[in-house]
Amino acid sequence: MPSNRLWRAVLVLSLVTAAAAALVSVAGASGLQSSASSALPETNIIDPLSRRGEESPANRSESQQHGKSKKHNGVATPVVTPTPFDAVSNAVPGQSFEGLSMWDQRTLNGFYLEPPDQGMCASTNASVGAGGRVVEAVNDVFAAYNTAGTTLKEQTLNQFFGYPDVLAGGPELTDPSCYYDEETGAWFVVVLTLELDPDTGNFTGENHLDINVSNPANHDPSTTTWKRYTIDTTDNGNHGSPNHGCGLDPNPRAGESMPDACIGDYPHIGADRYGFYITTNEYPFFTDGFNSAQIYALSKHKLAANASSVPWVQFANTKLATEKRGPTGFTIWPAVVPGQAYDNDNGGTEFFLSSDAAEEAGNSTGSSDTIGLWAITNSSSLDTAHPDLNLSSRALSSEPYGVPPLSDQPSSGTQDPSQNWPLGQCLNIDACFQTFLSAPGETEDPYKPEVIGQLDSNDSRMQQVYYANGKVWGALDTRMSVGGKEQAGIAWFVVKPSMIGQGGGGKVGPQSAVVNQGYIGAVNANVTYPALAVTTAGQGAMAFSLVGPANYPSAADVKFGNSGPVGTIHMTAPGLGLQDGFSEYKYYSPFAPGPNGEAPPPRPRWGDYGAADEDNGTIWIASEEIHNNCNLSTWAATTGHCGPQADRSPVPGFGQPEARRLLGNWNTHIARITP
Amino acid sequence: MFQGYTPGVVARPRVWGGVLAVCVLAAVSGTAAGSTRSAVLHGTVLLAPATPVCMPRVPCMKPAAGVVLAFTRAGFVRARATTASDGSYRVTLAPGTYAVKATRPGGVTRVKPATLTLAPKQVRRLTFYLDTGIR
Repeated sequence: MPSNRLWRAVLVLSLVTAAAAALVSVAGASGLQSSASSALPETNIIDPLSRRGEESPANRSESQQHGKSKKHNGVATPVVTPTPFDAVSNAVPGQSFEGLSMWDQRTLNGFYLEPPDQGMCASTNASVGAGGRVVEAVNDVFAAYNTAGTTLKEQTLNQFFGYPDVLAGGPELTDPSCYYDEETGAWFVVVLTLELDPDTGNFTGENHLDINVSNPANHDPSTTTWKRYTIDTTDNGNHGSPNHGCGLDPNPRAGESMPDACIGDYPHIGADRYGFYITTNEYPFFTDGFNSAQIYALSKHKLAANASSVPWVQFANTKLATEKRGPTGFTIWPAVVPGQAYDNDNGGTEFFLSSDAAEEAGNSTGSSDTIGLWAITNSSSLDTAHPDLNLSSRALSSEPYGVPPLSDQPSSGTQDPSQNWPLGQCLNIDACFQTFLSAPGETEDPYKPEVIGQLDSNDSRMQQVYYANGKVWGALDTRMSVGGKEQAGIAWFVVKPSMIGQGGGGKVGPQSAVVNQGYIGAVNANVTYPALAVTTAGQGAMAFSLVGPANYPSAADVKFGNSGPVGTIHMTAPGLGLQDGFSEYKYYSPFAPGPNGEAPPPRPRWGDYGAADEDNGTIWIASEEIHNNCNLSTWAATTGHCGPQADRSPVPGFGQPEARRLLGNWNTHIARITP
Repeated sequence: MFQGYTPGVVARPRVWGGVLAVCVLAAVSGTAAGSTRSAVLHGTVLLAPATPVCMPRVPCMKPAAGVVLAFTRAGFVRARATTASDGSYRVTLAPGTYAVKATRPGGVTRVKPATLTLAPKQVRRLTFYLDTGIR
């Protein structure tokens, strides 16, 4: 921490710089505005789906229990032999680059968000543009790159989906994900859209899934026009949605026009030859509780053709294994396949994986030793006017896993002056706080001292799923004991599905089993948010974040084979500094402070997911990391920008990206791995 | 170990009568509110995250009303507290370490922290989080 004299010098310098920056930012804002306007895609704001959908009643979900019914009493924390890690990158030279960051979010949108929720997909097929394209979507920015990381197009997610920006009265978009389909050459980007009341800015309750699909005449995501499809997920009868009876908000706020809304949270996507699938976790929007995972199945071919009418089916009331007694479906993640290696049996089959350690699944222990295998068969019927799908599932015995603890980063819980955490440090210095952070009338952070925060490690929900080489591959976050220390790690699974029945009536059979599984843990470090992709030969790579007392938040990876991880964990992009974002500090998440000014501990955010995508025998990976390490003096002198991020290409319309912004510093990294 | 027996605070009994007396005293001190050694625990129960993403100074959490907190020690529930409409609660407990469980009809119950320790006569403010599962 600087001495008083040094601090005064910093303050004078920063005030001068801040004044200069303010002038620049005013000038830049008008340029930004016109550039943003010209960057708006051609919009096709239609809603062809919301009244044509067919909600599948629960009795169409035919499921069976594999073995005896299991009552959860909790399972022991797994003791894991650590996987070594080193600083050598696995990435293809020249195809490992920094992606979107808090700088992009704050600069393009004008406000701060955590966490990024990273979606990414890629292709090097000739039809997508010379050399290939990589698409990244985070909260709340869209970008298209070439494979060397040069930014070809970048805009706010709102603009990408054809909405006004949030600060211009548009909705709030979240949880983006991305998929490139080899068969059709189409790109799909999905987001959950939360409508805001234009007068108050409060949530109205109305929410919907938006699906942007590239134009079939132009498969270059940096130049194509996008067609938007919408599915209402309010599920209170709004726009023809079913009414799932979500709890009524007892204290609705102004502008909250749908206090009985559900929310289609955490949408994730997959596809087979015929179907495009989105699954959500449905909660009451304004009260607590959980309905079940929802599965939306749509005709992939009609979406890819930008058809004006697309048949779709919604599966509600999902239950794993037994219709009435099984665990409620939670985060049923649909599979993606490498290339065009779709499962064409049973009229077209899509697989999904889920876990059941969560309370949403009816498990109060936070741990489990079963996972769920799900399948939808007869997906070819999605190309007809009356889809006739069959959803089935089984609970499979697995290795134990459970909800992990928060992840420590270096000096978590302390005010270590040898570390750079300028936002937190500024909150602890009244003069700095007053200069850069205070609201009118405030003279100090009433909740100081702030300390270096931890990172969220996710719960134990299933993460990205692949169907490759006749098996379903997946991974999730788990607690584990490594070297006697409880920390966050990864449990991975390879499932061999065995179907029974004929044609469209095929369902998950009793011979389905977890055929390989294991853990990834590191000595004195947490590994979190796995994303696994696999080639047709069963070779792959897994992306994740790695962070611990001796490791800044890093992007890391490990190669995968049919028998599990191959070799050591590699640092795709070693973290350069601490996570220093608003959600880890009490000041930015105050609630009902007591008479003594005490605030609840903050609820830090990280993730909420990464991405991995197979592309012509290679794997593209994407993870959150910290790629800056700015000290307090530089942070103050640059009003939090901390200078240019030299290893990124300029963003069209916005110039050279900078290292961070005032209230946050997350980064994302994208790389190509040859398994 | 006897319930509520705190080494160094209550003298070691020499005879069975003494043992019985200590047991009674200890049991009382371990369960009764209002003992001179009792601690007070108060605070708020919050639901978090309340939205998929968080913004600065926009509460990413909201109060949880009607939550029943059960404080368990040595396998027995020693006290319960129900949160008010603003999520606040207050409970008097004997000093010691407790496991905490939350129940609420139709609501989530994943509570953090799940354990806590109270010193004699301590007045402690503690915020509990219930994980909504929303991400």
